[in-house]
Amino acid sequence: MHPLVDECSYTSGMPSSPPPPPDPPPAAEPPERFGPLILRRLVKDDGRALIRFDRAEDGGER
Amino acid sequence: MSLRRFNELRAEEVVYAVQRQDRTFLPAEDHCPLCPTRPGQSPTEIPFPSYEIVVFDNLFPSFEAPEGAAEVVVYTDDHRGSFAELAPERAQALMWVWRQRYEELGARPDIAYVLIFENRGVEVGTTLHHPHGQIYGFPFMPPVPALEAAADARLGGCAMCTLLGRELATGERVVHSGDAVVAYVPYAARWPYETHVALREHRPSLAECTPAELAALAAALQAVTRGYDRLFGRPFPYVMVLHQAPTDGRRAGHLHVEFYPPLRTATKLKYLAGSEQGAGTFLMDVLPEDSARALREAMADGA
Repeated sequence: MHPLVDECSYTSGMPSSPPPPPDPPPAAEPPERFGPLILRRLVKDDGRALIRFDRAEDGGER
Repeated sequence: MSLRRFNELRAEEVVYAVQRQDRTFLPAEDHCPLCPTRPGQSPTEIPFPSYEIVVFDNLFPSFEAPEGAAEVVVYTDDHRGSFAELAPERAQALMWVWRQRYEELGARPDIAYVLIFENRGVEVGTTLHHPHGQIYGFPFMPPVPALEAAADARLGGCAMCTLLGRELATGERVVHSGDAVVAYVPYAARWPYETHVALREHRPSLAECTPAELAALAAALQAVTRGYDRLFGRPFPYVMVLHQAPTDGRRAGHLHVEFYPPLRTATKLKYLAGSEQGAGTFLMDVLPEDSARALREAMADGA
């Protein structure tokens, strides 16, 4: 804060800090194929890995 | 990070993961961390409003890179389901998920053994009711697969192939017999309703199975777990463990799944007490042939 700005007037009627931005979507990589499954890899906000597995619509036949 | 100490008297590693002391313990359904993240509600571990199967790094790991791995495998977004109640196609998909994780984790140089398991029921220490299992990537060879490798050497070949042949020869403890997969209460079961589910062909791991074998394995596992639930007319607690080849380069292993259920009656538990803990000798109240007969009848009731 600038030293000439009175703290009380500066903060009067204002939130003490701007609202946090919405959480960004987890980082995602292109889908991968494994047998009959489609894998989608994400990295959670805290850095942990997550993989979502969905069955491919073609049931693994391609 | 967890800490390892070698117990000289037992000749085994002990893992201290003190951060797990504060892990989530039996939360109410509306605070379940494995349920989907639904619009307008607090985020869970899984940032989707619905899903089929999800795997993620355990928030409270026993092992973590660069010395192993600990993952959670969530079978369904239905909080009140169970492995036994999964739709057959989802159970088959789970076999492929296990296979993918076995292959990927097993390829890591820091992982010597991939342990896929499920603890079902508070009797075996589950802390989340949502249907799920876990995967540990051990940075060392643990004692049980080492004993299985020693059995191979003692029996002069694959021990599981030998033991499966003996079970099929008598048939009296077999509870499920399919073209690709057999389930039986083993000759020297250590739990009242211990059951082994094994591939007929010698497959070291899920990675060598055909798609038909994976489907047959899923069906057999569901047949056993449904039979368990019917046996005493209650959700049947168990520990379910996949036994597969080590991933440290040694040639051993025959894919099979072992169930260790702690119930000896509908209301009584088998405890590991003086003889089991102090001497390493299991004392049993029921013969495997009798428990196999009861389990076979329970499985037939729902077939």
